[in-house]
Amino acid sequence: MRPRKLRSALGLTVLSLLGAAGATAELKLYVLDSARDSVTVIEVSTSRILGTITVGEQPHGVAAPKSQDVLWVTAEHADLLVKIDPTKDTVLARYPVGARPNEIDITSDGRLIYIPSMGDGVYEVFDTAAEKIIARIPTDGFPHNVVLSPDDRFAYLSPMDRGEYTVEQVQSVGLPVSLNEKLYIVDTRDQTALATVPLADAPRPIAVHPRGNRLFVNRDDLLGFEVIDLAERRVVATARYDLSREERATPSRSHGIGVTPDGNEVWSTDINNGVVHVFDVSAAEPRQIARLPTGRTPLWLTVSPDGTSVFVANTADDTISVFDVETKTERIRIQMEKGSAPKRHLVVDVPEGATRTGQ
Amino acid sequence: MMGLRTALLDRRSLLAALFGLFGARTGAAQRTEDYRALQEPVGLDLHRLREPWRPVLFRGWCEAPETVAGEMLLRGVALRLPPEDGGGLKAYCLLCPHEICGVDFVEDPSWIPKEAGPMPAHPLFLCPCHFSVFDPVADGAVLAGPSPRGLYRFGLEALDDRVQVNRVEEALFR
Repeated sequence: MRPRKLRSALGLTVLSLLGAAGATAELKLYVLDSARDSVTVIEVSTSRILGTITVGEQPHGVAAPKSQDVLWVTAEHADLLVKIDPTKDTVLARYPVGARPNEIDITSDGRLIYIPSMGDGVYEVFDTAAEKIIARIPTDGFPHNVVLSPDDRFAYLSPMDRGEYTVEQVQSVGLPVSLNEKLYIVDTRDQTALATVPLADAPRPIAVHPRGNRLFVNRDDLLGFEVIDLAERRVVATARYDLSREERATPSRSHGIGVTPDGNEVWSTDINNGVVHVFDVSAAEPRQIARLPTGRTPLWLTVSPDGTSVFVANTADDTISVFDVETKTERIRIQMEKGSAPKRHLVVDVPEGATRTGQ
Repeated sequence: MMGLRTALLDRRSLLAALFGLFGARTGAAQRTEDYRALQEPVGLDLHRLREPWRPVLFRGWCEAPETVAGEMLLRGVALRLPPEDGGGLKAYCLLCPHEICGVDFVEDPSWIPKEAGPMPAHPLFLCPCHFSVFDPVADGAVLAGPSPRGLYRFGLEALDDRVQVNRVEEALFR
């Protein structure tokens, strides 16, 4: 995930006063119901579920530009990119895109969206003004995740791959067969791949430091994460979770990572031990400072724009854990609809004029 | 998508195993045919498995020199099939072979997502991550979803009034 600007305390106070007079900005958490065709909308201040938005089968990726006045979602099994108005929580448009679009990211100005097309083996670049794909960037493996640098200068592409599956098994379901053990760095000015960073195995979720100098990478074969120095374009550190004997022996993986907006902490999940691990990354070598129990199968993690909260989707429990960053405690666990399998989610600072879902 | 070996493998451990150092380790893992022995059998009371479809959870340790930890702690479920399905005892590992998420025993098959298609009208296993569905009547065979195979099976033996779970499919470690 990309961090966003901290809201000033003064700004929060002004917005609170406006709230007494009429429509105000509000924080909303948009959670993709991966077993459904919908997005669940949660009011962050109260943890109340406001409603759902129908987008298309198996929503996978979500992103919003700096303006926060539009939300974009991919529906993987519908091959769609969906545009949503978060002030009304209504769908504005649906665009057909490549096969099996996965997690996305968007430039700060909202102009370009990077869409991993898992089925086609390319990352597509969608121009929101022209309303069409303007580039396709081929990679090895299965295009899966992407994060843009804070200055929009680079796109970091992290394709996963078939792992232990045979070529025949993967071909039979129409997926790319090549393996991938690297991160791609793309120049967003001309959509060309400038460089790759070798890794020990296929990368999974990634998060970029707010200063844009480091990238934190989950890998399937690592209970922890790697640290990439983006200037040197190489792995400079590996963080491993502090685990008990039982936890170390339990087959598990890391899938969900985020950086606080001050750049000091990385939070990263351990899916089968049901833990989120917190590391201090202010120094060159990450140092674990906390571990917090989550619900079952914590598959995604998001940090709020003001850095006060971390949200974790416990996919097997259909819950969202809300953690307080300062106290390192779970503030509340939000129960979503049973069977919805929440995964990726995003906190959006919806501008003034926000109304309730469905109004 | 990945197997357990990719999930937990350390390159040095793999090389050590390949060059025959595995056998020199203390308490080297014992294998018979396609199963690997648990470090200690897990005993379950037979009376807990009298009623069909009643799941009995258990955990078992296994040597796993191929992995970083050198051992694995596996979670499983044992259950008895109803008479119309043979009435036998089965034991399955609660790890999805797709991406090692923990699978759920779903007693009410109406909870299975509609997109999986028509399903048998008896309890099933469901992976909450990518919705693979497994049939406990058909030896854990995969019915839907991206899993490349059925659930890994434990081997068990009945001894008087107890059942011993004593081994797990070797394929889990590949």
